[in-house]
Amino acid sequence: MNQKTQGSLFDLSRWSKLAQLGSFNAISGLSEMVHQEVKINGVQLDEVSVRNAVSLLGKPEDMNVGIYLLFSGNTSGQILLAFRPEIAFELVDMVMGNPANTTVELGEMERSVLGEMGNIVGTFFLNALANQANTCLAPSPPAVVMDMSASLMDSVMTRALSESESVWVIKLSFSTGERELHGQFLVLPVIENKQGDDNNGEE
Amino acid sequence: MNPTATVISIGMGEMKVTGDPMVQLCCIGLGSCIGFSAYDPVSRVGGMAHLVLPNPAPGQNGVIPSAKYVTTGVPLILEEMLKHGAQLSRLVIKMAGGAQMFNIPGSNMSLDIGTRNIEMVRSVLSKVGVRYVRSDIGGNKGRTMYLMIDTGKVLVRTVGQPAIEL
Repeated sequence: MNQKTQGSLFDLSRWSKLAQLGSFNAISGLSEMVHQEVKINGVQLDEVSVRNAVSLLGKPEDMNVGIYLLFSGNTSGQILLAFRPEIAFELVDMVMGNPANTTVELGEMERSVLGEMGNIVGTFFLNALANQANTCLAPSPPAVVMDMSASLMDSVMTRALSESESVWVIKLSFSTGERELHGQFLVLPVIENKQGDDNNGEE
Repeated sequence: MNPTATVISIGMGEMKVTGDPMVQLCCIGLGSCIGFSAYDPVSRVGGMAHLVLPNPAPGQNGVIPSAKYVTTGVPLILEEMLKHGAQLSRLVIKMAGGAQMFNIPGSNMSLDIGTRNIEMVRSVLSKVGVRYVRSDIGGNKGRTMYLMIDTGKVLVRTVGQPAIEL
């Protein structure tokens, strides 16, 4: 493990509080967008090893729709909002005001809707963190991908693991009451103090 | 594929070399990572590595050689193959993966770890004097790669597509 990243500069209790705050804000954004009450089932800040990383979204070959963003500012990291395809399709229907089961594949329009969802959820999350920490965090445009969960996590973890053998993951699971829409919201911050270290960022 | 074979999944940064004909090695859900397979058709020894990153970050001293990095993983698996009785000149090298799963508009190339991984494998193999014979690399799709130790056959599966043999 990279002791610089995970050691003295990392304040677990502070990040736990920020994770809670940001997650609640993110879900309120999602709730507004889908016009439904969305409940948080759990928020966790976990250290995840390389070995266990691919199982964060379920079985390795299960299909998932991933909405992916990077963020940068005083700290940087990655955000992945992931749903099983049928859930993602249903969310598109809810946002578009379509009858259930209208959406059956990911076309340009559906990707755009899910990308916007990622924008909103990500921005709500980052704004809460930024306000609390009196700092600035900006999201990238989103990328929307449907593939095996292991392939999505492989790419996310690859980037995170360039710094250490394990990563800190904010894992949020949520659902709506009636329609049982479960999803995963993963935030992988690069936990280091970037003040005075402006040459370190990739974005 | 032999339905009675034992399938061993190689996780990120891991590798396995074996001469057991009843084993199939696989890397499930390769994204930007590289599934690297080596097989000696004479000794029937095969190995697979799940390579994650091209090389350790600058200033990252004291890195334990492992399959996490291409620069350490490729020499390590080749060395392990030789220990198991394979010969370098006979090795059939294949690779899959190196995709760019998430294409963020406006992002720079340093994010494309998949392409950097592919380039680094080529570079390391060139230094060692070994060539890879077949590959299924790049693009933006996840892949699952299998190596059958009894035959040396390598299959790559992509979602929604029939498996291809490398």
